[in-house]
Amino acid sequence: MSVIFNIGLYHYLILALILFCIGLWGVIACKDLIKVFLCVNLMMFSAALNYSAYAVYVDPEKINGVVVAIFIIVFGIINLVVSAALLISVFKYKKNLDVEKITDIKG
Amino acid sequence: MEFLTDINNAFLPEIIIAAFVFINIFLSLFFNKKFYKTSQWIAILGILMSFASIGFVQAEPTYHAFANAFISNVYTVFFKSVILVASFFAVLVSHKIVRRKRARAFEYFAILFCAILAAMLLVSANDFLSSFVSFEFLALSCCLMSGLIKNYKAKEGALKYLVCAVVASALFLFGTSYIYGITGSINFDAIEVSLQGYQGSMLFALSSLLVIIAMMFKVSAVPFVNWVPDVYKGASYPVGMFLSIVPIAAGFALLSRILVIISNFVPVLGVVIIILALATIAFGAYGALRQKDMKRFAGYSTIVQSGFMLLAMGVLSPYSLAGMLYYLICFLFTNVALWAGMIMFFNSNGRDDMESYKGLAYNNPFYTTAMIFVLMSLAGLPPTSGFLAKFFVLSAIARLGFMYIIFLLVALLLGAIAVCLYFRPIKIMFEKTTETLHLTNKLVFSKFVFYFCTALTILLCMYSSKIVEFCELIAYSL
Amino acid sequence: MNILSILALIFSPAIAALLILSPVFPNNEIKIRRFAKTFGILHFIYSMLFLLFFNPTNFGWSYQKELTFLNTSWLKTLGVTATFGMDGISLVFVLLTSFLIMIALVASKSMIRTKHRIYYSLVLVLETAFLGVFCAKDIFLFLLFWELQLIPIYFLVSQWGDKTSSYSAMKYVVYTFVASMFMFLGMLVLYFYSFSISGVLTGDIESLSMSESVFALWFQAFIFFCLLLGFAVKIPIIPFHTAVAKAQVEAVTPVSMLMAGVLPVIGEYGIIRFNMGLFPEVFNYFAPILIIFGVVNIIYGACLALAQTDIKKITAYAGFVQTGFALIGLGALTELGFNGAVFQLVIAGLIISGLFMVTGVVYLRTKTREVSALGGLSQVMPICMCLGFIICFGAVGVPFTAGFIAKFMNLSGLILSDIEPQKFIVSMAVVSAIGLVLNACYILYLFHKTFFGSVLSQFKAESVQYDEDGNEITVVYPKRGITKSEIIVLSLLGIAIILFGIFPNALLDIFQVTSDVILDFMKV
Repeated sequence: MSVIFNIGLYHYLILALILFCIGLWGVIACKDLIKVFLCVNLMMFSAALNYSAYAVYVDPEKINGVVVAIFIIVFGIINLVVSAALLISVFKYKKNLDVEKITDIKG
Repeated sequence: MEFLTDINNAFLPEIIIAAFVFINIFLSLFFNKKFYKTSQWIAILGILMSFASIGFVQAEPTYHAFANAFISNVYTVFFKSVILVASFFAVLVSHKIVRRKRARAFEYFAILFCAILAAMLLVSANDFLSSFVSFEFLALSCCLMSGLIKNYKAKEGALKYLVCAVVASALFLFGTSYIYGITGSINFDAIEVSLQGYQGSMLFALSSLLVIIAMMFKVSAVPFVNWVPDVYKGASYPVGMFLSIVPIAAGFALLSRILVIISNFVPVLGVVIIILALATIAFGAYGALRQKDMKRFAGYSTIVQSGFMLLAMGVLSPYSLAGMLYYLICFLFTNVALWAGMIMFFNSNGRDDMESYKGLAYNNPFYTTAMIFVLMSLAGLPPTSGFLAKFFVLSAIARLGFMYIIFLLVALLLGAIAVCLYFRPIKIMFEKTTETLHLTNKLVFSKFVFYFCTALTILLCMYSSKIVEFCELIAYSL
Repeated sequence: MNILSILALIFSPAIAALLILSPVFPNNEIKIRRFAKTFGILHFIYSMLFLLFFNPTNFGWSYQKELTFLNTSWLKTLGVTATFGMDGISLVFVLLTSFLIMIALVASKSMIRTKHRIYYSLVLVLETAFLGVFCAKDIFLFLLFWELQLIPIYFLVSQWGDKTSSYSAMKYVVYTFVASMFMFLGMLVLYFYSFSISGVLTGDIESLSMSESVFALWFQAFIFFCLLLGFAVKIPIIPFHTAVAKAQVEAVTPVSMLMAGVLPVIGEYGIIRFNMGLFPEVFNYFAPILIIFGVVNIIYGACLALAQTDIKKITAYAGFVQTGFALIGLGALTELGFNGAVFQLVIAGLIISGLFMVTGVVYLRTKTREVSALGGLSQVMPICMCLGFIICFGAVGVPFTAGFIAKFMNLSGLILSDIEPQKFIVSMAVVSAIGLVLNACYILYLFHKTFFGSVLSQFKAESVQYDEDGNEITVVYPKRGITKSEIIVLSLLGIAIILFGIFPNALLDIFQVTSDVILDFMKV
């Protein structure tokens, strides 16, 4: 039991890995584009979790990883903003956001 | 004021480009209606100024700027010049977009300059943070640029680009986070130092694999490759030209610098990259062989070419890097010529399906001759520079040893298939048709770019000795 | 001897082609044709000067010259230079190429009706590519010119040929390109492994030939077969012949003449220069394979020719039979056989392009190539018959024609060969002698069916019918049945065939020393 409740580096890493896998699965399997972008953000934030965990446990003097994590959060939000703009303009034309229906360019 | 010397020694071109981003935004606010035609000249001025200021940048020895977050040496200066030359051509051919966008032309150039800035930053990035930031910056500005036209296809292309870009950067981050954990540092130099004596592990191999796969998005190689033809189809022509060269060049710059650090500890990485490259060439060739649209054809052609460049990355010796750099120079001029030729055609009759090129040989023999040289160069046939470029890359693999002969053979056979696919447009140009199309003579800039780059394609084959020496010099500096 | 620049010899056709293509040149069919023809004749005279000043006792390469750009070698860092040179064998083949190009340019007058400007410039570019292959002294320069041939050939076959020629041109290009990729592989491996042994990066053929014997035999054999595959498709050796035959048949006559006349020579030149010159041990070991290939070419080619009903197809397969004899001579590894092979290649170039010319002339008049639809043309076009007679006899190998000397030399060279077991040699000689008979059969069959027999009503001089676009022919046809330029082409070829039949030494003396050098090298 002590292994589970003494929170250490590996707990964070495993949590991040699980989050990353959920995100990856979501990107591949989800049909709704909004869900896809949310899952991508999940992937990025799992990386941020990794970075901050390592910053504390491996690199405690400089904590560069925390800086990276902050940047990841910022860029995650920027991604969401840009993708929202694009999604709205696509939605205007198509009236839905199904991945399988946004396939006009083909050939 | 240490950062001022940093700017002066390493960052002058970027600062000028950044200044022109703000100038363009400023002008777009005030000079809307009347002065839209000057926007192209302002952009040309900006790129020329930036190009001139490359001469003031410290290249030897390597300069570390902003607390080692960015570097400047011969290698980065070379890539920055490539990026600036490519974007110079892209600006030259974008007069149509200026005329169509009118008041928004300044915004277009602001985004274009953002993309140039991001690509230049990506080239000189020296830690995971700066490379991630420029990676995202480049992806977002390219995405906005490809979605700039007001029609559905452009938006769809941009959306596909964005999805791939964010997935790639997520993979990149996740991979680098483990490398950070193993080495305790995000800086490339510090990582190199702390990896000395490292035996390598499964985690390290997997994480570097994730990083490499993420980089495949930037160089448009397998597995992140499906977006390429769609985005090129949706985007306008100058943007397509820009996307087919600048992000790829920047991606190769970063990829080679990352590979130099990590490839010693992951022995299979070379083979993995060669297999990815061969898959990329095969994918591009297969796609291009059944293509009916010229823009999508250009997209698949870009995939094939970047596959060949990636082949050189799998070897990673000074010799192969020099081959890659030479290939990049040839690819730059040839691809610019291809897109400029397509722009000349599109602006004359507004069509971009391959069928409309029918009978072009009989009405525009000079244009067709030049186009044939361009396609020959892409196919790698003499007497063009593409032949030498392929020769360099393939000979780099031949140098590796007898075990790699099977890869060499596959690459050569794929090269043979590539020849077929580039013969297809030529065949169509020679088909008989009743329509007659004369290309308009108004497009001075496009014409200049097309014929100039075609001539360079042939000249580069002859005067290659100096260029190859130069490339080797640069490759040794890495 | 400053006027004799090998660079001028090689690149002047390309410059002439650029001149024709340039907007300055008048867009007049007659002027373009005359310019090209005059250039062809002058080029042949110029190449004859090279023969005149050639010192046949010189062992190595003559007329060596390096092409530099801004005083730097072409690819200095790789040790690859653009050096050209000639030895006896190259010189003979250069003369042949120049002669055949001249002939083809003259013959194009009545065969080419559209797009003159592009046609003549492409033929001249093709000449540069051919000459470059023969004179290249560096393997990668050789490769460059080798691949350069594909582009003009693709356009020449696809644009001026039959209806489906676009497809067959594509097929030809793909086939040859895939094969040349194997050749490229062999060259790259050779280049880097000789580097790893000698420590000097060089593509120079002479320096490469020094370092070969160090390799393991299996490794040499690997490179040997990679190279051989590239050459085999070009020649073509029988299992790889389909695309070549199709392209030759569907191309327009002057192009088929060039393809059938020069391409086999280029392929076998590659075998002599690389497979023999670089891998003497392996060649000694695998020489019987070449003999078998030669015999297969003769017998199978003859059987294929016998089965055809299209005169152009018969001619194309006749070409394979002729190159088969040269392969036998190469494989025999005797002086007689080797000289005979080179001699046979030159003569085969003349004979086969002559046969293609005859079939082209007949096809132009009758609009049919079916044997059953032809007959009795000797009465309608007697001059064509007379000249065709000489060429066909050359192909059969009748004494006093060069074909006889060539076949005699090859077969006796085979019999004198030291290759063990003796039974194999004898049986091969017997089989190829049978091939000689078959060869005579289909050529005489072709000749008989076309020119003799009862005159079919549509070919009688009075009742000749023409298509709408045949107006140019109507003037000359009823009188002599053949135009002046065609007479010139056929008679030049006929004269050459008889001349070398009576004075074979005129040709043999040129490359005697070179072949001695190569054969000495083989015995080491």
